[in-house]
Amino acid sequence: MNEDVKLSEDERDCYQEITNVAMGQAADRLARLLGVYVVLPIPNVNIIEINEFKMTLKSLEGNDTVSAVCQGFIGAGIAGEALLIFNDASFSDIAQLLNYPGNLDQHEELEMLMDVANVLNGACIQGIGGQLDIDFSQSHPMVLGQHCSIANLLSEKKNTWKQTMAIEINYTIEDHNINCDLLLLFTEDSVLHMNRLISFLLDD
Amino acid sequence: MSDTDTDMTEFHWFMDILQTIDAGLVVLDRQYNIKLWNGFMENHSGIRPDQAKGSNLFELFSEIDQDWFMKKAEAVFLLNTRAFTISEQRPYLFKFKNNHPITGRAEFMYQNSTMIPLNNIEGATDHICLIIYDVTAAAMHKFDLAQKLK
Amino acid sequence: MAGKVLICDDSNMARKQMARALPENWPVDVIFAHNGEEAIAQIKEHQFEIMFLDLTMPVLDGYETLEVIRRDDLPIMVIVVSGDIQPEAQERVKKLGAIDFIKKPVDKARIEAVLSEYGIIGETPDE
Repeated sequence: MNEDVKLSEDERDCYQEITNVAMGQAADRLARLLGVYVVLPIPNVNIIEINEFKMTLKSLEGNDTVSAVCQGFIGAGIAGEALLIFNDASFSDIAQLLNYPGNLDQHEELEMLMDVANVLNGACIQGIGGQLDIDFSQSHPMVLGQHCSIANLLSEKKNTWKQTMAIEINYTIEDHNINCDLLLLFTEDSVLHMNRLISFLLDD
Repeated sequence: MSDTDTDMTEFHWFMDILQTIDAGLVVLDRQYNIKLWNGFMENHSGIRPDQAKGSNLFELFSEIDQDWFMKKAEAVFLLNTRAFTISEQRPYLFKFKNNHPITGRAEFMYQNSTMIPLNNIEGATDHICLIIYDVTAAAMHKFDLAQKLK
Repeated sequence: MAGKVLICDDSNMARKQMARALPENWPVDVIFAHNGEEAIAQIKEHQFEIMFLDLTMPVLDGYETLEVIRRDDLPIMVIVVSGDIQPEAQERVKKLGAIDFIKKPVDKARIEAVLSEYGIIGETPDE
């Protein structure tokens, strides 16, 4: 990559709208799985540098420890990762909604993390794919950490990338202490491909 | 449902599964031309099935060491036996990007592969199927362990 | 005289997609609003055949807009058009007075069907 990737206002608006529809589909599935109402905010779309990425992660932390799962997806020249970050305080409420009995140990928390990741990641990734007419391959989810601080999620990795397009979706569930963030992260090359794909959606 | 209908349904299921499965499937003929190319291969290579089918494997993917690969594959064609390669021998066959391009460390996807003989009605092996597995996570762990033990 | 249609959505792309999906031979003028507040201002000024309303918007979101319309008894029929398709969302908007719910991405046939069902467009065009 020689030049910095930039998004025009129209392009940013387009990604926001595409994500809005995809996250609506994801929320619908989560809502039906848990029997709740999922609060949907407007997604944040930004091109960020590696340092800003680490700061974005830190800002999601709050006072709580987190658990995180990430899953890669790829197709039609577009590659990225879905990073699902869960506030650990959320687990007991989710356990109730999913009817997991008794006290939770790390094993059960992992089960719930995977259950929620499967629903949210899958619906978002395929939801975006559906609107762009792409059938994305999804890799197995990988646990980045359980009960850790965000700083530990990305320690000492050799960074081969400069910029990423980050789409941040925050899910909260009404009347429950459940809070998770889904970060869709696209590589620099992908953004160029996607800008070409969405240009037909932007044409008058 | 009649027997034919059941067969057709099962056939469609298999086709769907082979397209979505998280492993690469490539069928090659005796001249190493590509006859089958599944969703995994398409999405990781950026080459569509209609582009891949009929093309020669080594022409499309110059990163594959032709002599090394053919030695392994010929054994499968001639002996009707399976062959395996592991990432410790060669990190990859196809140079694909790491599935975790943002949070991951590896520069590319580490791969294990299996080659299985496919026989015709006469029992001769006239095609082979190459199955590609992503073993990047395991490879990274092994690497970390080796570093710690130094 | 051409009737008017109000499309309220914070996304430029969504507004365009909605406008493109309206029935082709329907002689209406389309007016756009970027959020609920702008929509309310438009409703107070003009008479509309129908309003298509998004849910997730800044300033005044779709739910809040429906509440204002009901509270002030504003003369407008509302069809909610949203990506938020969860069962509770659809229930809530109907309870708040929306006549129907169309999910995004919008489908031309569905829009035509809903408009016909509520008599907003007839079988034959008006003379």
